[in-house]
Amino acid sequence: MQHPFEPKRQPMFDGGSLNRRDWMKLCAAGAVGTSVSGWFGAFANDVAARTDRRRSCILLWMSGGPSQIDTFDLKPGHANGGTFQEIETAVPGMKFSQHLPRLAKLSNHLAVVRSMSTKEGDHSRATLLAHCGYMPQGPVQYPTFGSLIANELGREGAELPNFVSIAPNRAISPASYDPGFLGAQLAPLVVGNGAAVPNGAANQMEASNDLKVQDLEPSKEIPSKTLETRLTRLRSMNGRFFENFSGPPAQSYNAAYEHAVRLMRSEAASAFSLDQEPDVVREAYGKNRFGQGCLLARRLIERNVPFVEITLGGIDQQILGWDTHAENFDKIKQLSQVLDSGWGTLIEELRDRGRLDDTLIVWMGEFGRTPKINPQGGRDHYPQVWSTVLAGGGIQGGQTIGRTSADGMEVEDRPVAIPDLLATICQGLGIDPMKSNISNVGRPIRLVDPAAKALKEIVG
Amino acid sequence: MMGTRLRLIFPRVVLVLALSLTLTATDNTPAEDLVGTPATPVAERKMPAADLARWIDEQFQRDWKQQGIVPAPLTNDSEFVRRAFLDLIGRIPSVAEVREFLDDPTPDKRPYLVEELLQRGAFANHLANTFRDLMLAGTTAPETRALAPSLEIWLKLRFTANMPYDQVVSELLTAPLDRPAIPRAPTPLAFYQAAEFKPEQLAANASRVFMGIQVQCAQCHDHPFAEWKQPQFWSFAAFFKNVSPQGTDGQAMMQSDDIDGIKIPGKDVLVPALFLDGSPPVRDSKDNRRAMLAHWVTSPTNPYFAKAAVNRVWGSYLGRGFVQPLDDLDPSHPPAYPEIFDALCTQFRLHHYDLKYLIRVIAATQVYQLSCRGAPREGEDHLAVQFARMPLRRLTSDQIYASFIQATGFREATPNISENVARDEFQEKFADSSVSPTEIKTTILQALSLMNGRHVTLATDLEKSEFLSVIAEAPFLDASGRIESLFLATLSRMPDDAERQLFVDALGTDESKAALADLFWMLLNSAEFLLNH
Repeated sequence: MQHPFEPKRQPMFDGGSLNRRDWMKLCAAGAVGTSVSGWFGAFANDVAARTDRRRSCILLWMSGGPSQIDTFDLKPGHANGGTFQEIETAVPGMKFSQHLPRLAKLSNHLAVVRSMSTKEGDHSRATLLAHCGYMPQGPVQYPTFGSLIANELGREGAELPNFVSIAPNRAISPASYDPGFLGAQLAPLVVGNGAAVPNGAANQMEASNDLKVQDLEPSKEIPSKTLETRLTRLRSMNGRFFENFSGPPAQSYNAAYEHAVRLMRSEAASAFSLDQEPDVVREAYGKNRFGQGCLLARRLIERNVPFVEITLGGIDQQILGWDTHAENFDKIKQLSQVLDSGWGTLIEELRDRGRLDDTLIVWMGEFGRTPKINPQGGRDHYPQVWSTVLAGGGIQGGQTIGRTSADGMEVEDRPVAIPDLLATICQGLGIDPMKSNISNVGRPIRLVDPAAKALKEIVG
Repeated sequence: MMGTRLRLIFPRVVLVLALSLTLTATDNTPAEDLVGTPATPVAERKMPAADLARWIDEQFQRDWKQQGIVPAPLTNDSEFVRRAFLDLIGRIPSVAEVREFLDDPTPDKRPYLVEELLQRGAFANHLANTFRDLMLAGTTAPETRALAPSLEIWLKLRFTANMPYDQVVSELLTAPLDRPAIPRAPTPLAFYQAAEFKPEQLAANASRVFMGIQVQCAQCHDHPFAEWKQPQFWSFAAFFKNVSPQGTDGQAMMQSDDIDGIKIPGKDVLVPALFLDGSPPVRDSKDNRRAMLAHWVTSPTNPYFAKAAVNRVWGSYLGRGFVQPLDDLDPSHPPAYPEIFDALCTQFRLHHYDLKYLIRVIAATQVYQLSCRGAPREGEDHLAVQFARMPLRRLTSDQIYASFIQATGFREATPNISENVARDEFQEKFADSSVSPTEIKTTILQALSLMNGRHVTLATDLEKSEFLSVIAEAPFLDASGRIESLFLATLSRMPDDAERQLFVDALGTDESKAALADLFWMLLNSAEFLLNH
């Protein structure tokens, strides 16, 4: 399909006869008051036409580096263990922290990797490594993982962007949100980037307004016909400009406008109207940004968005909430409650709606935390030993991978590097991690570092 | 307004003098030294800006010739006036400023315009914004953002006085760290807040911003200064020990035993305070720890100080640095055109780190005046890599806000000295933490806010937009004149014949005023408005 903003050589101001019909169709769809359930019909044909329903991926990003010893790899009885108790889960022998009761009931869907072992101990670099799978070297602009997956599983011309990132903290590592050599078309749509809404905000409106796509609707005073005229002329004007001027900023502008117009026209954008959900559901997810973000993720993947990232950045406006150098236990307890209701409800809802088999959920931060508790009652950065969790589609749940020592200081069995984990995710999504893209320097780059080995126990 | 009034105050002869002598307040070179200045930079001899600019152009031209490169043509006047305003003072020119420049018949009007912009208050303002971004590196933490205006004002005061850059950095590194008593009181505290007052983060930020050295990366390869490992890093971080906005802030005198520095977290090792080249601070110095550090960072014997500044400023004007990435002067990325880079660094130092001189040189080159036209659609623009074509750059959030104000005559309904809601909204919406101006992305949300957001909606509302009403009602304008005014106000150029014709036709109906609003909306949303070209 010809996109409304694609720069194209054409006679001056012919109104774009070539794709005018498509354009008018797009415009017509934007008429106010069409039925809310319209999207379902629109995708029905599409789903029917494909026997292999594509999978989606949800990344729960724990910014700051969550403590493995206080979540999924407790060390009861050891001085490093801290104050939390272990609880039994649905799977015999699998134990989690006492502050994750909902997830404990769902543990048959979870594969806990306890033996992550990496080398980056700086927030920014570790975030980049976890997101891209490669450390920057030379001029290659490595794409972030969400863009790579969206490129594999997304559809061109989809109404919603193929990659949505909810409430990220981009400043910690801007390149972790960059589509790199894949180009601006695969940049994430970022929502919930406004003023930090405290997780645990009593005010539900606040928590969800923040996750809306701002300015999605044209001003009521602009008749839709006027808007059509404006957009048509804008496209012609830009088309002529792009005949003389090109480069990454032009491509980025173009991709953004094209997506924005499509989103304005799209009924699928109602995915962002969380108020369509019953209050009891919203309560279950937790009335905070992360909880509502999980609900939004469910609504997005139901509309075939292949990659959604939700960041749990912290409580009360912290930006690296998991970075618990001090008062570790109070903070992790609060964060665990937010995490447990958001993630737990997400798994249950996906399961009940028959979507869990198609949806791979990844829980990870940039590194773990020191087993030894520091004098401030905190834990510091520790990339040597940490945990991640995979859940849902394509995953053999109900198991733990790897083993750590009694004091939590060492990986005793099956050390896993970032590329190993990413390769596992690729396979779980039905993607060959050794597939290549052509990079900006003309060299083919594999989705995941060729040395990576997927975890067979998890993805068969 | 750049008008006749200014020319009376600033006769051309003075400007020519300023261009050729570039004397600054800190300049005490005997006059005879400037007589018969050689046309090539000689070490340890100052060179007037215009001469250095000419020499730089000669070097590029010689290299392009050798490589068989045909550079892009020079920009036309409308492109140049827009680019110069955006780069030097951070906004597009007004309609009157464009017209005046286009109508000026004198052949040397470009350097003249540059000089005139360098003298404006907005120049210091824009430079302050540029350095604020550099120092805060796109941080979104609310505590830091609250302090950002104080840093802007602190920088602006210094750039207005054209304080030498080494002194600015020294003052920043040794500033008292009291919380501002009133909002927006000048203080560089934001730089420290961005690092959460942590010694290791401050050390990393200071070396990146002021020396272009990425200390975090030194863990995995050779460091420019030395074999560089964790203890050396913490030794450097020791200079920022006990830095905090409450009570002791590292201003305390260094006791001799205090030099034994800092503990590496997680290890029971105490490391001494050492500079990155391994040299110790002078023990008998009366200075406190941060003052010693500032002295070492800005010392003429530290080549990285000038290099980092020159590479950044050059990069912000030309879209790419001699060294890429702009903030990583690691030996593994050697500079392009090292002779030019060195000459600029040397002259910057000889001119006592005068940023205005540096910018005067850059803006006077032909390289800076090359067009963006004709870059390839796909892949890398090889001409741009050789500085033979100007790459496109997205406007920064500050440039978008200031240009939007300029184009629409927007005024905040309730102006308030301590907060500027619209500016904050633009900054938040268009903020980008990219290091390079060519890497700034346009996002879906930005596109939506320009199409549907309240600012553009108001500006294009015939009832509510004063500027648009004036254009629509002005009795001395015909349809063509109205169109022309809107083009000049937004794109700093005349509409071409096809554009003129199209909109004259649209205005010809009864809907003429509405058509004018449609046109204005389109111009404010156009790629041409949002990009620096």
